[in-house]
Amino acid sequence: MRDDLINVYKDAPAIFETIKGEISKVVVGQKSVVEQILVGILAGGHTLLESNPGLGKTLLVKTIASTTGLNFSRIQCTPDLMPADITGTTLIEEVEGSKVFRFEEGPIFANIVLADEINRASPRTQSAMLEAMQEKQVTVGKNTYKLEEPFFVLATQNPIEMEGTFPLPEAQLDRFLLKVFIDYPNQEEEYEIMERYTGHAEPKVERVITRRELLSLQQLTRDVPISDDLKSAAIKAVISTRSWEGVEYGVSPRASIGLILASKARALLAGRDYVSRDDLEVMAYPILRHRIILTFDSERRGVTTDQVISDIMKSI
Amino acid sequence: MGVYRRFERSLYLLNAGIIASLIYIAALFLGIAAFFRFYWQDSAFALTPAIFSLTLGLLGAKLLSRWSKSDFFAHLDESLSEKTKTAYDNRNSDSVVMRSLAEDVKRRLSKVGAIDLINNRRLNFGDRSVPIFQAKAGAVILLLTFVAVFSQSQAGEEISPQPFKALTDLRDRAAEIFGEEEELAEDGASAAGISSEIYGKPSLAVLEEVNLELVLYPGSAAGFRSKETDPMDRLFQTSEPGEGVAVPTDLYIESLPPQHREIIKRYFENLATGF
Repeated sequence: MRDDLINVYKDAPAIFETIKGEISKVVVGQKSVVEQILVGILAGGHTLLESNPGLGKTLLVKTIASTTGLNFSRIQCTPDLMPADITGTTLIEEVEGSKVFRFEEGPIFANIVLADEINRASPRTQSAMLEAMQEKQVTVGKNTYKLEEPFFVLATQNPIEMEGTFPLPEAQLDRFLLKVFIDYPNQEEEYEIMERYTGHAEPKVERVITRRELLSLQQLTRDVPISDDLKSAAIKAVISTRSWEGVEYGVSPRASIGLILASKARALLAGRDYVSRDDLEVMAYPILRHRIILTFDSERRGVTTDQVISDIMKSI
Repeated sequence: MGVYRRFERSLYLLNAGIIASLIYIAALFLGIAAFFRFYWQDSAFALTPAIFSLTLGLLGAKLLSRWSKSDFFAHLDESLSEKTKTAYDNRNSDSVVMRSLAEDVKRRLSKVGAIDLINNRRLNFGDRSVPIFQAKAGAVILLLTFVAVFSQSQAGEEISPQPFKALTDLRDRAAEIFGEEEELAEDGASAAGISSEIYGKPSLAVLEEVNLELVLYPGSAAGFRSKETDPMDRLFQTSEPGEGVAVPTDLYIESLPPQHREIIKRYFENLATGF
């Protein structure tokens, strides 16, 4: 196992470059978004993607899943989606003349689960995902089924068209390691998208990483050393959110764990064998932004969580 | 690294010297050193201000060196600084990534000279080319000379308790706070640790199987100190000159018993004629 780790560690920069190359065949630009999703995967956390419609959230997740040799499933969330539609259900089957119960696994039994427009699912269905996301197991009736490692939920939601949606409760948002915003492409990227998707040939990606390699990379992520100063800075940032002016509720200790893990993953992704201050500052935004709840007055004044995070990071 | 450690040690001692001298000078000016010398002149306790200053100097220098040590990694270039700091903080962990980091840090640090690890600001005052090391050494010599001269000038002075009134009051108050039942004697006997209650109290000693009662009177032992009193009026007053009056005295012969007068008269007459 140790030799495997050494080999994967040596090959890591090449692996990441290949993955990014394959993704860029399909997704134009959005380098920081791709990087943040890969960080989420390396840190073993779930990612919530938010953008206006048509910016390629689903395409991006499908492409990333295609570059790995992992099982991929997609759940299109709607208000009438039932928990059993996600977790699976018990069926009665006739085997050799007698009737037996058989558990039919739902789409959650995959390595990468794309929960498209998660805020359209009912709270009951959303909460069915909670156990799977946190415990990495599913309980149906009296039976508990372990999910296969690695397991990630990549969920998408769009901030407009709020009619008929059920905004994710704070407890469920906290289970997402990262919340990533996808912005509109710039003019050159828009041109490239138009060129690429108006011809006959559809871009295709190849599988470039195995499940075993991905598990090794996840283990290596946790091994990336971080200095005591940066650990203290992360804790200070997290604690600051709890007493910051204009913040109603600060972040939980899950955020400090996530911040350190995500910083380690970013360092590994960048080919560095240590966490830099830059890693911490960049990862603070996707880690903290969905965990900070602003006061009504702050929201009224148009203050965003990213502005608060920026102020906090400047103060430490 | 040996050069760096020697540099750090020398700086530490110089800093300790400067801090200790400054504290001792402050003690001299406040009269604390004289206070201790006055009340404990024949005891090692008189050295308390010096020992206290030295201890504070060493502690202060330690704090300064700790503060400057945290800056050690900042002398390296940014990426190496972060790497070295991370490797140092995680020196007890073992992993594939950590080993790679340690090897890289070792390889890159081997190319760094000892002089590169010393912050230029710690060698010179800002942009001026005044070397800090020599300046600190000069300051220590200057301060110690000042201490020696000032102490010498104070040693010749007549010391009275008046300048220590504030300190004595403080000491008395402290004694009250800590529940000393005995009242401090006005003559300062308590300053030597002697209670006034022992005066006049008989004690018993046995000498060659004979019990001896010993009595100690106030002022008969150690602890007798000078006390400031009101000045006495010593003016001479002139008096009226008296009138001289001659008073006749009785004759010697008349003072003798009558029956012996004749024989005593002859004795003196014979004595005069030489028998």
